[in-house]
Amino acid sequence: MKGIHRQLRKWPIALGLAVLVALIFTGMAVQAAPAQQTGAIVLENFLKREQIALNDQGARLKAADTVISTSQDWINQLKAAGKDTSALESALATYQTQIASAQSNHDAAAAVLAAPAGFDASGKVTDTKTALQTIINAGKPLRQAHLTLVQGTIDFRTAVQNWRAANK
Amino acid sequence: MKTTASSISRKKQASFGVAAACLVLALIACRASGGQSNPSPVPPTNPPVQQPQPVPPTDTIQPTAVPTNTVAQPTTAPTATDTAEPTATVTATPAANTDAVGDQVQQLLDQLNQMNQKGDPFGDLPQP
Repeated sequence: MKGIHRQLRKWPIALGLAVLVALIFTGMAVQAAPAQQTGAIVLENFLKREQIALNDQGARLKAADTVISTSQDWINQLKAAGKDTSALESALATYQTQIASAQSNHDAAAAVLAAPAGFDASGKVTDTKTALQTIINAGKPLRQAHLTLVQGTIDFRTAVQNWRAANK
Repeated sequence: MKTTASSISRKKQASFGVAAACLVLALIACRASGGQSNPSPVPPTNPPVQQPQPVPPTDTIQPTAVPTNTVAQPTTAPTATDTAEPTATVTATPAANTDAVGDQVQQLLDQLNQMNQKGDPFGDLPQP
């Protein structure tokens, strides 16, 4: 009789555990749908940011082109005045190469973002996996173009400053 | 025991009485001998102490006059240097005009550098 009483006392505990496990599993299932929604929102935000960054970077690349053309005019003027501009010419040639490389990466990103796969016309996610791949495919060349543009500008600016300091 | 205690108290009383008597005698002696001399030293000592005190204020007036002179001197000196500086800039302006395009290149590079340094806009994008 005592053994039966002990077994009967354990039943409520087992039943409680079973209910707890069932609640956890149903909670996970309910949360799966919002996670997909938040993932889509994150991807849509990334797309907007990449489009804004592309426009901003386009303006900076145009500014770099202006720097190159103005620098070429300056070098021509200095050469006509009989100054040694070999250091400036070398620095400008390197800068031109770097800007061309940045422009090529920028154009690659622009091609991806022109018709972003996995998104509809209004920028809403239609296929999560494809949308994520689009974000990656556009983000990588965008970032590479940014890094090349930044480093190239720093290097050329330093070269100009050094030349001007040496030729006062 | 009571006798010893009473004898000790009597000794104490006796010594206290002697001490009190000595004290009274000393006070009387002081009044008798120095009663007239006490008032006299105090007034003479005070005036000499008070006399030196007014002297420092007269000295402090003099130092205040000295700083006013020193302040006035520097004000004239910077005006001389300020007038010298514009002449230096006037000589520098013709040099800047000769390299106007160089200045323009420098300015464009500074602007582009500032635009670039706003931060990496793609730093937290998902990487492959």
